[in-house]
Amino acid sequence: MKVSVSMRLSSLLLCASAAVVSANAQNHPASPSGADLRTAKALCPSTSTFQPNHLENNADILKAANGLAIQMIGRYNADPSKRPDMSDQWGRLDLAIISAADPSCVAETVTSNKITKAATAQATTAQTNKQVGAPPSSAGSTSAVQKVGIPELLGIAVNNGAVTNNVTGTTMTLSSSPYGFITAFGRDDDTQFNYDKYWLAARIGVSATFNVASSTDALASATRKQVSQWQIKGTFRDTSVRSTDVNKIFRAILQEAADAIVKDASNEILDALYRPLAQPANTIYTQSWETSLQTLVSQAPAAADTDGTQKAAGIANQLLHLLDNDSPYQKVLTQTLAEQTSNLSELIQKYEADNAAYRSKETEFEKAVAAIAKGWNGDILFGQRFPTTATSTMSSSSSSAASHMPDYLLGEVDITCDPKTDTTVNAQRVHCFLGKHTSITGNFSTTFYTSPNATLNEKIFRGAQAALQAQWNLGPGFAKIKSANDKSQMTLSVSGSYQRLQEDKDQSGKRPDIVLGTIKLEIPISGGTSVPLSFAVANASEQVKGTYVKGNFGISFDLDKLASLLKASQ
Amino acid sequence: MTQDPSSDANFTVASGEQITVTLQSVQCNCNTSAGFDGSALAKSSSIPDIYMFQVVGSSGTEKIFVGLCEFMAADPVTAHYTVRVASNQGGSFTVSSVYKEVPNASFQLYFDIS
Repeated sequence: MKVSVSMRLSSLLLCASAAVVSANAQNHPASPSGADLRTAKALCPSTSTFQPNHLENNADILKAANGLAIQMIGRYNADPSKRPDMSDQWGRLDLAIISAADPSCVAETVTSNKITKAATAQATTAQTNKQVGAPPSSAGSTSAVQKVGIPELLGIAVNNGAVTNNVTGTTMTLSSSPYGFITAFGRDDDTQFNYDKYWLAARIGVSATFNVASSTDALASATRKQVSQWQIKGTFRDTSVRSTDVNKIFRAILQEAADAIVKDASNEILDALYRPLAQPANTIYTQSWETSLQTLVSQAPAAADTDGTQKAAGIANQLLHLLDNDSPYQKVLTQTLAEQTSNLSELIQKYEADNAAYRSKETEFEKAVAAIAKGWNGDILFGQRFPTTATSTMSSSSSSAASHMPDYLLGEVDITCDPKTDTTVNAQRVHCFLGKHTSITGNFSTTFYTSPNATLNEKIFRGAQAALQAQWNLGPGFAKIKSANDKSQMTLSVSGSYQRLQEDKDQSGKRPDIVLGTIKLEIPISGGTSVPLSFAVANASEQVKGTYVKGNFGISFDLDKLASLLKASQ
Repeated sequence: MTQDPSSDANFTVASGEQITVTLQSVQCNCNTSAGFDGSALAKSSSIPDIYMFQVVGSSGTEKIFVGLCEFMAADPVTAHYTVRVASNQGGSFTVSSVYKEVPNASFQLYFDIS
């Protein structure tokens, strides 16, 4: 039994397979502004937990304070030499406080956050367009066709600097993009303006894969001799969160809801009510910076606090604790609440209703953004492979004699189509030829030897390969044992590939033309786990001339899906 | 226009001054909304998002500008928007950047009419 472990971005796949099938051993690797007060009350019916001197007990106030803490951390990290200026932030906290004092609007935020997380989990688990198997070139793979993945590669390079280092088992991949270099070395900042300006550079990814001996010091193996392949890949269409399609979706879904909120928040009557709170809040903040807050803000998050959420929550609690116990602030707060007339209450409720409408639209927005990747897309790739017959091993004293085979250049075009039913950005639905539940992936590649060895019957033209896969969504599968947020789909895929290896022509025991057909059923079980079953028929393999039939089964764990489901259940 | 030396978000302006607020996203897409004095503002141009408005009123009154910046969960934690405020009668100032909060972060600027 072979076990392959493949790390792809944040997704981890464990695949246990009884036999291996590979098509090709080398080439495939509401208008919210109109929200009325009845809506507001319907959305904010919960029991009030507001107490002026226990502000941290209210979820909405805590959320606003948490936002303040995030801004404080970000600003401090940008310039640790001075106390962050928070004068533009008190208004949002004060608005949350006077909103919470309104008895009709409390504790709604937690519920809406849960809805958002559930929607995210549903969108993540519903994805069937991810390459959740090992690449076709990997041992243990049950994929006959490789799907397009460059946007994720680009995303890492763009978000984290010029070069990204990813070590998986005995291989390390260094990846980057020209855009990564432009922004990482100070020529230009990674602003959206520059992202749009250098759009072509952002769509190109460059990577090199190395055979490594030790994952603890993988970079030491980044030498020319250890290169197993390099490639330049360009994607036809940007499907990342930086794409211009996201701007279109924002304008179509969220702009109106966002406009309603800023309109409410900039209302001078409302401003006059909460504005007096800003000064005492800022005073206690500045007085407490050196004595308590600076320590919290400057310290590194705990190891388990990977996104800094706990650190921000700690600062938010401390901030509210300070306000709870500050006499001048409490005095102004009492006066402010006493001035809250029914007319003001209506304004506050409208503000709350517009916020709730925004959160509702936000879920729709995220779904539409996730759908950007659907429709037709593809990429074009050029690279070089340095195949070896044995995995290189290296120690401090010696290096094994890996047997190098002739290297070759590779040109490849990948095309993919996922059915598109969301028409937010583009009114045209895409059904990918075979219906609205069918996705199509195709690859075509050709290879050339750089130094053909005539004694091995090699010529410059090494060969060509083409593969096509159609995949049908068959529904939720074993819905009874899946959680409500798990929208994983049972899929059936049929794929075929043809490969021409010119050097095998007229060679005894070998066939120059290899045809492979695969049928694969993937059954989601629960929590990001699925069972792939596949059967393959081929007229030969690169090693064996005879026709064969193979069956495969495996278990796949998709940690992206599992993580989103766990978050949704919290 | 002058900026309060102890408070980035407070400005003193003369009645009739034309103010330009520029929001530029860094490491994330640029999706914003802005309101001034109880009205939503239309963008003068996009990416960077530029909002223009005129501060009009009697001496001693205060007008409020509210900005809202959208973030995505996939954005890095260091994603932020830079905020720049300029006046047609002179003065250009940088306000504290607005850092990633999902789904959005907001900020407020105050304009006191002299």
